[in-house]
Amino acid sequence: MALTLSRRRPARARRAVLRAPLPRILYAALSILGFMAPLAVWAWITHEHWVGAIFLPSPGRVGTALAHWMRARLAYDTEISVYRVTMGFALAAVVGVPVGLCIGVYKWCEALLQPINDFVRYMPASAFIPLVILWVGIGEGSKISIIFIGVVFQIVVMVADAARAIPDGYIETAYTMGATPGEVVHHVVWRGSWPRIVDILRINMGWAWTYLVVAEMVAADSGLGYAILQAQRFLDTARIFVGIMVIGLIGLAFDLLFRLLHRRLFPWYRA
Amino acid sequence: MTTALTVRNLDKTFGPQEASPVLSDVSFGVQRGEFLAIVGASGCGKSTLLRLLAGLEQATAGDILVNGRALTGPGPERGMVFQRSTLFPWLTVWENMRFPRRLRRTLWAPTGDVSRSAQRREALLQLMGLAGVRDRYPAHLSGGMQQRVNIARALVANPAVLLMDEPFGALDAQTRETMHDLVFHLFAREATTTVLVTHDVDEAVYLGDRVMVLAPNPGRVDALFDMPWGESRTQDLRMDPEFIAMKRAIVERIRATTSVHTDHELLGRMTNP
Repeated sequence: MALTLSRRRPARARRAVLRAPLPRILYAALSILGFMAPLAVWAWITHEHWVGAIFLPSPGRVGTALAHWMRARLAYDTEISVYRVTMGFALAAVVGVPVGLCIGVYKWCEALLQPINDFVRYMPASAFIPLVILWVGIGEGSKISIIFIGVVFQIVVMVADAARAIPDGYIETAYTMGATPGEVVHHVVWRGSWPRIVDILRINMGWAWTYLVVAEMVAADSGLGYAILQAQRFLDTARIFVGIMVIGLIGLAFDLLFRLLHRRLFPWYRA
Repeated sequence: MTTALTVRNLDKTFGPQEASPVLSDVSFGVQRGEFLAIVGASGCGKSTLLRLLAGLEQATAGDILVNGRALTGPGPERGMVFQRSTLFPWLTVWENMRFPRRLRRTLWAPTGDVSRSAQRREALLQLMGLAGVRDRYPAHLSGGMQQRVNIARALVANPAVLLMDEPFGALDAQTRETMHDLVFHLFAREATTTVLVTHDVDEAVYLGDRVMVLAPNPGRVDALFDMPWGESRTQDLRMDPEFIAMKRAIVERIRATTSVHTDHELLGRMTNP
């Protein structure tokens, strides 16, 4: 009876099974559909002229704006923005990861730094702009600082959690094999939390890009965020679309890069 | 025979003002090469006792001597195997067993020691039936395999005492019996001094040279039983009337220490309010 039932079950129902794997082709097709469907809706709306071009330019207009910008200085704008984001992000990682580890490992460090970190973490990065101009000036340093401020405190909290997630059993085992506290931090906590730290950096790279536009509000004369703000001033909606999409694409590329790195570095993880 | 481990008048209390005693005046000794199994009702402090022996907890009072020397903290002369596998998931089986080589204290070891310990690792890998999985990561091993690696890793340093905290507790019954035989033959051959904490009386009687019963509230030594089986232990022993009688005697001791009795009046009130 049970056999007949399962044989009659339609193939369609199987896709609804929670966490059931999908064939690769189907997965890829659905991913492309996820991009194409909104594009089609967008093209249709503009084709029917339901909304004015000022509010929603057609895909064709956005394409033309992209071509114009590429001929002008898109490459340069992209380069300078990538530089600002990666610098701000890298500095935040260099500061945030060790501080986070320290908080996750030593109670005195947690008591000293976690409350103040949580306090500053909730302050909006954009509100620091006047202070950053005052302290750092209006050069590249100020843009990098804003991105740094935006992500460093998040990295600290998340890395501290990752370090705390290392089971006590691993630490105790290392001690019974004769490890010193420093060796436990190095060989167990640091090595063991690496995969999560790379994940944390991937997520924060995304956040760093969202702070780019805010950072380029500060007396910038180049960059993708700056270009978007300029386009807003001239009501060049198509250009705004291009800027946003370019940022999205770069973000996606960085995300894929981190995922690839993760898979290469940690074959033991999520086995 | 010499004493590998001596415990004298050990006290352990937890909480503010040391309000809750966990172990009270615990004394015993373990001979070199002996297998001591510790059983007791839950809450008798048997795991705490093992953690004290490992140096992972500080005793409130009393002494622990390993080969005559007072214990100061965790150290490689006392290997520890936990109930849940503590293999480092980012290292392969072989790298896990080599972990102590990464530590500073072995950095300047004489070449002879290094090659001897390499040979020992290789031999343990063979004896535990792990040669085929040496380059696998722990996540790719079954629970029984993982626990074998844990035991092999703890034995690499040739510890004076091996401490095991319910190491087979998470395994299924068949795997557990296989592990018992594997461990028994390896330890008999190596003459490993072992302290095993378990809630499984059958396991304690099968593996132990002696079985110690701890009584709860606070934990204290209640009784010590000598196992007469000698070196010839096979699975058939578990069906032996003598074996079963020994099990019964120990289980009865454990029950006597828990002072749980059936209150018929209370039960009656629960069923007919």
